[in-house]
Amino acid sequence: MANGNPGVNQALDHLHDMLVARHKQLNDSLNTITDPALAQAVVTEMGEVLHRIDGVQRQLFKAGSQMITDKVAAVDAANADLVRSLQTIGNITQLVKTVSDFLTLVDAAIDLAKTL
Amino acid sequence: MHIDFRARPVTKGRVSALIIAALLFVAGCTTVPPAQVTSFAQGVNTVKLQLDTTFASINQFASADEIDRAATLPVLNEADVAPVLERNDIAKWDKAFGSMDTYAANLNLLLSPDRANDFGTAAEGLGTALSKLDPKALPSAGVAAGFVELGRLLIEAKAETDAVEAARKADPGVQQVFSAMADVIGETSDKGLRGTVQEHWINRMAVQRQAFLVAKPDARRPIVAAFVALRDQRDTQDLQLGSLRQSLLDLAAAHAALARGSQADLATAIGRIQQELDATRALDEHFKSLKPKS
Repeated sequence: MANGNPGVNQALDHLHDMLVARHKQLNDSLNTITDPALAQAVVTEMGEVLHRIDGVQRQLFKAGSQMITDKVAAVDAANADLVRSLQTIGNITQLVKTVSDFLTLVDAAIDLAKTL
Repeated sequence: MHIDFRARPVTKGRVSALIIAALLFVAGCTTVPPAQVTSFAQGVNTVKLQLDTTFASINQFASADEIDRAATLPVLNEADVAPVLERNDIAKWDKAFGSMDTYAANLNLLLSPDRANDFGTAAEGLGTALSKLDPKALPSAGVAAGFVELGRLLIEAKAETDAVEAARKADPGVQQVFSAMADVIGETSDKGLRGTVQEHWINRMAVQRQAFLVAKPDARRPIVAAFVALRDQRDTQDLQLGSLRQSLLDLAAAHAALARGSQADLATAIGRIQQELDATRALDEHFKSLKPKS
């Protein structure tokens, strides 16, 4: 998780990396999606992930705390599921649900970071 | 008067001793031309200008994406349209640069013979103030730690009467501050602020990719052109941020050169900073000419 940058909150930096990676993964899925409705759903979800990237960016340099580390650990677990799900995006409902579940955990971590 | 050193070896020895003594006296009195400290202070101001230009550019374009998203939501909240760099976050950078500017002004005190005694008082005052800065009032915990270290070193250097020696003692703290500032910007396109900004461009390009899917064949070319323009804007803005990061590192190099008393290295570093600012302004103009989405 650590990147060797002592000025960054390591847990939030990891969360930022995760969000950037999922955003890129969603973008890469457009390489093969030909269904315009499904592509639109991907773009919409990308916008939601991007909004959280901005949110984490604003908190990225706050001091670390165990509570934040715990929240990000919960996101970590969901992230593994999301990576697998995004490898085979089948339908819009499944896509929206999977990304939304992931982002609910991300929002909890961002909300906690705002209180530090 | 002609002196024949070969005929008077004792006199030759005295003259050599006088020359050496004179050189030592000069070296002890002043080892830094005032222009060097002024150069460093100007470098600080130049990088601050570059930072303001770059941050304004980022906020302007990123806000447009947040507006697009907010327009699709059932209710409108201020949090949904917050800028990437909020006003209070930009104020933290102002505070950090202001503190560095005060440090440079204190070094200048050492260059004025009648005010050199003021340096001890000013250094101790600034050192104490820096040590007590609220970490939350600075851009990052790393920058805050750098200022605490700089404050400690300034208090140690308060007895100095020479600007180079004072800068040499303070240099580790200054290096820490500028290095931590550079980290905030991001070492690569995927890290820090650069990573966030890059994903904004990827998002915009994704919108064009979706539009391409639904467009009729004869309507696709403008979409491809828009896609390419966005790619160019993405690369331009990353260059801007990379340039800002480099300027912060150049500022650290400028101070290290000042601390070594190396006028040539200092001039090189300050020259690079000016070039980075010029490049940033040119990129900003280029960026605006690419007509970002309103």
